[in-house]
Amino acid sequence: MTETVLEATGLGKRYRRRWALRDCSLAVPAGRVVALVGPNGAGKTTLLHLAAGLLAPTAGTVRVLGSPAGHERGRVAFLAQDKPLYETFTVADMLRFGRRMNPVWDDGFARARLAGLDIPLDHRTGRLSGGQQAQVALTVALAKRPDLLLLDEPMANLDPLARHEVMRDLMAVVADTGLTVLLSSHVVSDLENTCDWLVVVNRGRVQVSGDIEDLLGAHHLLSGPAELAGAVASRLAVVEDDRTDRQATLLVRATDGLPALDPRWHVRPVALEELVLSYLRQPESAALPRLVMAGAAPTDPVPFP
Amino acid sequence: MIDFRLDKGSGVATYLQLVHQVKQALRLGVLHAGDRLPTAKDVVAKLAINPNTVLKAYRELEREGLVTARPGLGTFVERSLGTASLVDHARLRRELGRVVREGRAAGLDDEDLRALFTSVLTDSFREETA
Amino acid sequence: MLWLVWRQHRLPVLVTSVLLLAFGTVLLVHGLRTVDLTAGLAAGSEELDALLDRRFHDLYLFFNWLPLVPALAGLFLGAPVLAREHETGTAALAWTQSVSPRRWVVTKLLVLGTVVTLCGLALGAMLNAWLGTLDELGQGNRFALVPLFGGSGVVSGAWWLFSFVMGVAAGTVLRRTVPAMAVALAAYVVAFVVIVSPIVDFRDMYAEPTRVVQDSPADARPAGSVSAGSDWLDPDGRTVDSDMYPVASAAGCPDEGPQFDYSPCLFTKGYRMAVEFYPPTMYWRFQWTETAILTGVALAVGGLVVWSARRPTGGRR
Repeated sequence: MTETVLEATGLGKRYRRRWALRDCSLAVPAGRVVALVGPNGAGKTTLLHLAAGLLAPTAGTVRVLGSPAGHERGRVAFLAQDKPLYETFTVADMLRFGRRMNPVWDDGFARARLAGLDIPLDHRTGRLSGGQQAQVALTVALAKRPDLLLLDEPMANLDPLARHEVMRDLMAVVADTGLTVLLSSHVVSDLENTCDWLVVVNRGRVQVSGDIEDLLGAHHLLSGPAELAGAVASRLAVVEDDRTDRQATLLVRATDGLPALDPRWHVRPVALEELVLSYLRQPESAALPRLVMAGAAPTDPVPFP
Repeated sequence: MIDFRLDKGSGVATYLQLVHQVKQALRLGVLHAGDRLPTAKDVVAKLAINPNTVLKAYRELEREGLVTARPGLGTFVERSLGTASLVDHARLRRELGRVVREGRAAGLDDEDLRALFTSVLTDSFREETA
Repeated sequence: MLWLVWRQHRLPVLVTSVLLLAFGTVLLVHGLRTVDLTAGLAAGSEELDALLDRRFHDLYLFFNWLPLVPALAGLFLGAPVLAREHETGTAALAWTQSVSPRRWVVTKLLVLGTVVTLCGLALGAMLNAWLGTLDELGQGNRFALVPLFGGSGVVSGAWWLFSFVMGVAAGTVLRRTVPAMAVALAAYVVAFVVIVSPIVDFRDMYAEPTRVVQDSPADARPAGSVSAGSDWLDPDGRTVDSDMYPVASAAGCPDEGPQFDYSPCLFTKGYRMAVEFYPPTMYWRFQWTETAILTGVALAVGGLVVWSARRPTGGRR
């Protein structure tokens, strides 16, 4: 399962004068549940649309399942943020749509899932609640039996119960089929237990991409006297440096383990949300550890100049 | 069958929570040798967590010799915990009591002792998992 | 794919079919009644002419609206095809399935284009059949009268197809149904004005007119001809002017004002009139020429729509 499902090299997309995404290089291995995090307007949707083949890149390339994006349509499913459905179609019509538009279609799965969610097949999709519409849209996406599922803000507009149901079913499919999921969100807490790969996009650039556990293991929060901070900064990559005249709190990245430090430092592990926030606050920091594929220069651990 | 639960506010890694819960169940006799643990899909479908987390917890339990994975069949409990440790339990309790008394003598109050205990726990936990 | 096209567009297709059926029924009943009424009346008799004229004018007012009918194909069938997908966000659903966006667009264009063309052809055939009951009238109305020329024969189908493709193209560019409808309507009106109005005389390019030089006021043109102009020739055979009044002044006819018919005076003075016209036998040639032009434009624009479907959501959001 070391196959690369999504691979972007120097990927960029410009809308008129504004770059929505630029210089994006990342590789996502198969079977991962990838959290694509970043503030609104950071370029998450653009990246997903590029991967889905709905947009053509302005610069660079994006390869999905080994082919240029848009070539393996049957094996990639995409669920846009507003979870679009044909409003005048009944739920059954939507399933028929999926069956007619895809050579591989698991109708039994789709019907069982909708039955389990108590969504009647004879209702028009326009009459369903927002949560039910999202579930129907997700069902259509999953019944294609894709190898890669792209979800743009799947949790937006869902109540907590629906969120849990969506995630639960998604994780069950991942356990079952080894599906790779790439989902965007600006709420990190949604993703804490479900995702195992993190991609942080900020201001059109990919800032972090890596295995969540590795990332959490490599980052440490140091707090201690301010006068010691300079020495640490010279030895370790400092992501965020928060200082008063007496005290310093540093988020450091030590990919090869933390070296021996002055005992006055208090070291504690970092939580996912803290890690993400620190990077987002420091757009010039980057962590792209060892997943930049051949061809692109590894950028770790040097921060952007 | 064991019923996993998550404590999201605890700050303990999810896979460790699963490991602890299996161990707890072994100690309390909820799980016996030969029992099958729920499949990753079952756990995932209930807790909405990443399946790799479950697999990681099971690998950890396997590493500790508590369970064995039989390909195609599932993960089975190898041995139970707890019965043999009753003696240990009494001894540890005595030792902790001694530490607490020494702490009081040194001027620590309950709050201080609790903080100290938690900090030692966290540190040793970090050493184990590092 | 066929099922999807039907499921998404069945409403306008059904409405169009019902309307065509209703219109056809009216024409059929009216035409059969005309046949009944004219039975036994002698050809060329005044009685028959009057009757046919009355029968024709029963429905003629209605025919003035015929040129608008193909526009509806662009508005209600063409414009929504892509604009609605963008508007409702379903483009992201439709074009991430296994069927490629290009195949999706080609199928929609082919299927709906065929349906629309068939509707137009059906209307043209029905109108031709109805006009057939009045042919005794000898006016060849379907050629000379603008609404009837466009609404009858094969060109009817071409106008429908043209309008439909313009609607689709407008929707592709604008991505909003209502503006796309407006642009489709505008494109149709522009094409209609260019081709039909006497300002451009576009149709005069379809064929060389027949030219007849006459030396008496009797009309030399067969009934139902389309006029393509006339010129006065002086006794030496040189073309003078198309306007009668200055010619009459130059010829020395007594001045009776600009509205007066000076032709008897001019003819007696040796002036002749060159008349250019298209005889009614040119009807089918005009029909096919206009059909070829409209279909050609429709195919070219349709090709652009298909070409642009490689990356359906393009560079904009």
